[in-house]
Amino acid sequence: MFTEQELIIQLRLKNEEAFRWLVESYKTRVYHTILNILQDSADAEDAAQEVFIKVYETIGAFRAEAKLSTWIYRIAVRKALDKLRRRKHRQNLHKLMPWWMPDEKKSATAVFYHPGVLLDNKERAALLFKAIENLPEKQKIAFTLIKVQGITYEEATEIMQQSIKAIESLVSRAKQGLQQQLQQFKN
Amino acid sequence: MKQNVHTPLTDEYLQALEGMQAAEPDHFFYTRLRARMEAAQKTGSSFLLKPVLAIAALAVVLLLNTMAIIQQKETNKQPLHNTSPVEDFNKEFDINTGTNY
Repeated sequence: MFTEQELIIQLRLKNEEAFRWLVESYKTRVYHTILNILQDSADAEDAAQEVFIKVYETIGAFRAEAKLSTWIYRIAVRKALDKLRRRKHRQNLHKLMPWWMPDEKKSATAVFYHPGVLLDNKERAALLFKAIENLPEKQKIAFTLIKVQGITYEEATEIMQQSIKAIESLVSRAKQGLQQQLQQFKN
Repeated sequence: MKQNVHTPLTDEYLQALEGMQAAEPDHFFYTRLRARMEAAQKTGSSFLLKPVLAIAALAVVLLLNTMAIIQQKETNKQPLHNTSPVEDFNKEFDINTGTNY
């Protein structure tokens, strides 16, 4: 068990035990955040690993202006966005050259069933996630963090480094966008 | 203050997430992470392992090769000397072809 201060000091010293403790303490939060954004378990695992590697390598640059958890969330969101952008590039390439990377078509049309959702709600949740995936990037992140993950608006402002008004506006627009999409799915 | 927008369908579908458990990575996440970090250390941080840099390095090599070939062709087009073959031969063997009277 480490306090946050001790943990940061030990991580800077590359203490193996401290790093293990960090990973075991944060892996679920990091993986869950990334999975909600990426909607793919293999990509989420890969990105979650990258988050901890980044933390291990750059803890020396952490200035403790924010909480360690907020800093880790920020890295997680950034890694998830990197993966999303790369996926979009691959999908665009696939549209141009369908014979190249044939698996891209499957991943683009795959339905995401969140492993943590109750069985009775799986289908409705899958539709909601499908609609979330089509949202613009910032709206998707704000909505996912606050409405799916249950993070507070205050913490979301620190993670996304946006004002509370900006975050509220993003969530509001995301809800409207989802409303339109869900209406179309129903019709 | 949060903005209130009328989105009944979104709110209805959001209820499907009630009671949702946090998703966890597969077992032995830490072991896989350490294995990845060790593998990365073994292969080193060669810049050529990064695809963008590898492609850029390849492009530079190709450009240099192309420039060398073009330069070679240009050089071949130009005669080596402005003198005639007979004069070259005389110079090579130090023969004085001047007439002696």
